[in-house]
Amino acid sequence: MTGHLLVRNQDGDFLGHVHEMGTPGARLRFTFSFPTPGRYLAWIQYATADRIVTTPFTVDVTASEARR
Amino acid sequence: METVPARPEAGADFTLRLDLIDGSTGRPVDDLTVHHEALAHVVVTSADGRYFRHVHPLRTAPGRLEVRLRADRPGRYLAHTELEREDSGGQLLTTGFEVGGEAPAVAKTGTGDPAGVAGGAGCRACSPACPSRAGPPRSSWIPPPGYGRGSA
Repeated sequence: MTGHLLVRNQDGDFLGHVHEMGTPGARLRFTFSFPTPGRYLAWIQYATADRIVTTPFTVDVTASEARR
Repeated sequence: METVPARPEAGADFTLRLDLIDGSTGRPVDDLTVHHEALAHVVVTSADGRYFRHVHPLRTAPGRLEVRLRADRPGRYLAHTELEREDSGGQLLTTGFEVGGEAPAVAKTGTGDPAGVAGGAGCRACSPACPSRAGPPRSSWIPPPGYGRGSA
């Protein structure tokens, strides 16, 4: 099962897109770096045998200690 | 980018059209390569993120990509387009459009709302988000030059 992750900031002027590169299985893992702190809208899409499943969620990104 | 009609109505089909022009030559961009199995990937979201579509527009003329869509609610929408030209890197184009009309009167159900609602009967949080529901008219597709040749 492979899928991809789409990430948008609230303004919509940032869109990130990464693909899952993991091994087949029931777990999806993505590597993604958020550009700035804030709330992001995110969607994961993956294909099953007969359809595409979209799962929305949000991510709140805080500033790292090192950058404050 | 434009929509046809220019101001889509909520609940009605419309066409999202991208006319790609090369900034240095002024000519239509007609050398898109297939990446991730499509000529271009368009992500359409409402400003609040409740609406989400990931669709693959089709080439209907040189430099022109089109896809049919329908938005359930009026408001501001964003269209992010990812594409790749021959011997070039990927590009991300950000555009937007407005949808008019009235919001549907039916009660809210599970939607692609990333702000909290993750339920929805039948389709597990993807009820408005299945790309296949907004499929383009296949018959109008014109293969681009070299399509099917396979990308290096």
